[in-house]
Amino acid sequence: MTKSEMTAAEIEATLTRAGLDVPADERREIEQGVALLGPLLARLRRPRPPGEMFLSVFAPKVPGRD
Amino acid sequence: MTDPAFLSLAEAGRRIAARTLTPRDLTEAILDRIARIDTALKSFITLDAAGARAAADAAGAEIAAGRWRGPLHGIPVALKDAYDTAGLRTTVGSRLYAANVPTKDAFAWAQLKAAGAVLLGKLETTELCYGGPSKDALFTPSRNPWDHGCYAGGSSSGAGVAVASGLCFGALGTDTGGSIRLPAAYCGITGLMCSTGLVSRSGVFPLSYSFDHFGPMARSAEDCALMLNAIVGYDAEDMTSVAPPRRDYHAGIDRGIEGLRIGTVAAAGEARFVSPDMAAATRVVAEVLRARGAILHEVPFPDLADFAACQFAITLAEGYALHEQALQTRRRDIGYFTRTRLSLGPFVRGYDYVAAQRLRRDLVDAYDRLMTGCDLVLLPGAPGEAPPAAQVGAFDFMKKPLVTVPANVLGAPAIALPAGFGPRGLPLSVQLMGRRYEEALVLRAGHAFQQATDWHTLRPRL
Repeated sequence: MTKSEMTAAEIEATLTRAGLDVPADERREIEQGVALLGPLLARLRRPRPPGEMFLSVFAPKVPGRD
Repeated sequence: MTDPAFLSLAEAGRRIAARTLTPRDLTEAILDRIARIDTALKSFITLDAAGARAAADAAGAEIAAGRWRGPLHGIPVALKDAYDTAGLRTTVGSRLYAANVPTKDAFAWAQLKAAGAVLLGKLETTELCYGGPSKDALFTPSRNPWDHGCYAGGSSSGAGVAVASGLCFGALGTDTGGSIRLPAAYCGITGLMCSTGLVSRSGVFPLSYSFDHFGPMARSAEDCALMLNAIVGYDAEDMTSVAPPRRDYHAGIDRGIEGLRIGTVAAAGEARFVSPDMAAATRVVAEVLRARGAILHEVPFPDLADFAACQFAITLAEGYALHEQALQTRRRDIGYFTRTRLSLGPFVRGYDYVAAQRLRRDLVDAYDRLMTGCDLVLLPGAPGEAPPAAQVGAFDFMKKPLVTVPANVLGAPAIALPAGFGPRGLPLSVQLMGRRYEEALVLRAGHAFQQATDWHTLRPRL
């Protein structure tokens, strides 16, 4: 299930689990945000070769140093 | 005689060095202007007139004694209220930090102060650097000097407004997804987001550890170069700080762009990213650059939507991690835009975050490959003209991938340059992006462009 397919009840449950007390009117706005977030998160999913090396920390090379 | 408030920083510095202008006279002129017009613009949230006068007098005394420190000596500047200032409150635009008075200066401000700059005060920021023009924010959102009803851009809103309005000669901003370049674009000024680690983050309030970047905002690329000279420096307290070879970002700025290879990105002009006017302005800028001798060619830039996906997942996760406790216990003390945006944090799962970091590496690699065939990339500077503030929604920035986000994801320098005006008479802007740590080239190209155009010299009627 993608975020854009989450029901209002599931969104409320996620906020509650996170300890956020969000009034109903604000929750509706957040529902819109969740709907926009879904397709963006879906773009992150892509095939990866098994065992692909990945450096989690971004460490750019510096001219003159590296 | 030119209003001293709108001298370039470079020219004001020359006059101070030549002793035809004193820091105190210049500071008084700016303080007078702030008193006259900032009640409407709301760019300053903390004005330190007494401190500014004392610093100006000290600078004047030093210069009179023959101890001129350089082009920033005696120049009035201001800081986004995310930079710590010892003894002067730093609120980050939030009730959570309304009473926060740091005991130590941010590294970048300490550098600027050491160069002799005079601090006027602290500038409005959207709350916690992740808000918008919230009606319930601690401070009234700054107003766009070109149209008071329009958004000034965020999050370095006050910096954009103050620089454009002649209320300081330059400012320092922060930029996690465009927060230097969007206010620069909407207010018609020049703003430089620097490479990761070039300008220290210590003492600057964070939003995203991965994407926070820093840099100067001024009225020209040349003035940004002078400010950058002062603020670059290795800081052992910042684990991302780098120590590139010391260089003068102003020297050689006049060398032009003859023969430089500039990549264009046709897809960035599509309606899903920018307005037709912004796309047209970008094409006009390309022709100006070509006429100055640059070689322009289309490059295979990664999809802007991939940058947006990467940036949102990581920023929401890191921003939420920073503010989780406040969202749980002091939610009503956080303004509407900021609290609703940050409330998306729990919807980004751990594996989303890791996937986004992996995608970031792919995007960085693709950019590095692309940059073996060109020196700079030209992109639009904003989605369009500044929107009416009342029409800005909490999640508007998620509806269209922002053209400013790639530089943050890549950690690469990007300068926002005024590029004409749209149909509502508000500024348009373009960006030039470079390879990491090639700020000198970015500034040189920006300067060459500004030698060929006068958009950066046009001022709002105030």
